[in-house]
Amino acid sequence: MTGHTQADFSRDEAIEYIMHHYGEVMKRTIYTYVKNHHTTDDLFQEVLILIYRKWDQFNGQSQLKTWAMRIAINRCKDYLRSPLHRIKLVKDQWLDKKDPEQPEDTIIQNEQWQQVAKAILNLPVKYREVMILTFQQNMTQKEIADVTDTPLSTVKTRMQRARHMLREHVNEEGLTLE
Amino acid sequence: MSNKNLKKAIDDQISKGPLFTEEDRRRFYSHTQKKRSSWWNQGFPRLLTVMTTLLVLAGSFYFFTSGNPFQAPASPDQETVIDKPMPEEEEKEKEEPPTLEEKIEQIKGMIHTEEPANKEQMTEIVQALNGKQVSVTEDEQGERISFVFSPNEKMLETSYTEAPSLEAFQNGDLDLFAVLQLAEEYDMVYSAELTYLSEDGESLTKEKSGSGASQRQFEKVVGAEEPVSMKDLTLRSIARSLDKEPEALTKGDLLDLEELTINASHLNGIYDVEAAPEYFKAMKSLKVLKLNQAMIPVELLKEVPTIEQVKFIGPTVKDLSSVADGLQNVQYLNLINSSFDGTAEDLLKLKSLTIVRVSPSVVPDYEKLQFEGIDVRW
Repeated sequence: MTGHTQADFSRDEAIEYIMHHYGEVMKRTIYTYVKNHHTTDDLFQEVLILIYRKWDQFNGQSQLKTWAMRIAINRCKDYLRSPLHRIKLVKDQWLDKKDPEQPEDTIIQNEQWQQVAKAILNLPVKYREVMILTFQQNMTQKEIADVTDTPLSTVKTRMQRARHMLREHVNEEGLTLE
Repeated sequence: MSNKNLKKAIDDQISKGPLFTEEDRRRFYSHTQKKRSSWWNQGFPRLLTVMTTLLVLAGSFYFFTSGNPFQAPASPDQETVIDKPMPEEEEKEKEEPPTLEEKIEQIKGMIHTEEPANKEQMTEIVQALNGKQVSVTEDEQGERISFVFSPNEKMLETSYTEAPSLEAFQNGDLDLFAVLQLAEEYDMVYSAELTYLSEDGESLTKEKSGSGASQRQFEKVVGAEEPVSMKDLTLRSIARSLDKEPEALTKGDLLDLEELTINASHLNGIYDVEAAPEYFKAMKSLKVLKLNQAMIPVELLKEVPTIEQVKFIGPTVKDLSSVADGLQNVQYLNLINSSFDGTAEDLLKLKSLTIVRVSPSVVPDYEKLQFEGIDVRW
């Protein structure tokens, strides 16, 4: 759908296209911000509604995926700023245990990579964001700057800092990161 | 750093199964359809435009037909007398005590918004509604404060440590009992329980804010003061979960039930849960269900669509056909110690299932489940 504008698709066609092609990737991205499956479900619904409402504003200057992801990321950041999510942290702890009877460790296949992934998910949001969008979404630094409304130089600095923090963590854990 | 390995590891950390499901699509379309069919959304903006236009036209007409509106009136004294409301009347209006509906709305408003009220704001609101604090307890999350509200401006003299009786409401001693839970670390109200006289005046209604994602929704039970009457083991199991005496259980207590374990392993044969559907309908917070050699009929399970996790133990289920309709919102199903001998197709009938614990020897075609995004564990 690269290069298309909102005039090429009806609102309903667009939302169906976005759900079909980017639903999974958007939900995974939302999760990396809020780290809670229930909240991810709710925020994803809010994002879909926002996209549906704002469809008239999509002018085709950016790719559809970038536009939709920007809405999702902005909503996640708004949510993280709101005090409500801190309350949910307290209440949702038990709900988010995906398998209440099986320890997470027993299903880990590749311990080392899992440790690194965990460390990334535990970075502060602004560093986590650049790492996730780079490694999980395969975005370039320019795309990250675009989707997060952040100057490219800031993205580069954050990436360097994130790598540095990650290396420190990895060294502490006695892991190798090549 | 191997991008491929790291991407896989991050994806695994997020979820091994797909996150985007048909449920997301269904939720979205049900929302938009509601919006579309709503008169409020379709008709109201147009109506508002028409009314505004009429108002502007009427105003313009008045402006041009009433002479110079900026000129001082001929008899200012007379106008002052007519226009100014009588001070006594004004004061009377101010003193009108808030109605029960206003109280309920304002208390719900404390946690309905994106920025819930803090303790200071809560105190101000309660005082403005003629409320009186009657007890405070503390748990690991913070204070749990009970308030009673008077139906008139008089301050209450009676003190209550728990939800008052139906008679107290009927006598007009109070019209609302509220329990507000504060999250101490964040200094915010994060849940509320409200008890008040039902519309018919013959029973109590209890409302409680939800948990987790449904935090801002309130669930309601009418007849909250009614004692619960059901088979002994079921009653004792519910009472144990709520840390109450079985004989003291009320229908309103069922609203607080979040986990229920019924263990009938000491009995011969399968224990069939029997209860009036209204009791199961009142279990609006129930999320986790564990049945050991016990079975709940599908008609009762259907009354509790909030259940997310179910564990069956013993010879109670074979192919799930008898209960599948009542488990449509279940996300986690543990069959590892059950008599389940069905197929992957049987499990796929549970539309919300994301994790199932079942032996691969029982379901050799479990890859079908994985293909559909269900995490199979044993």
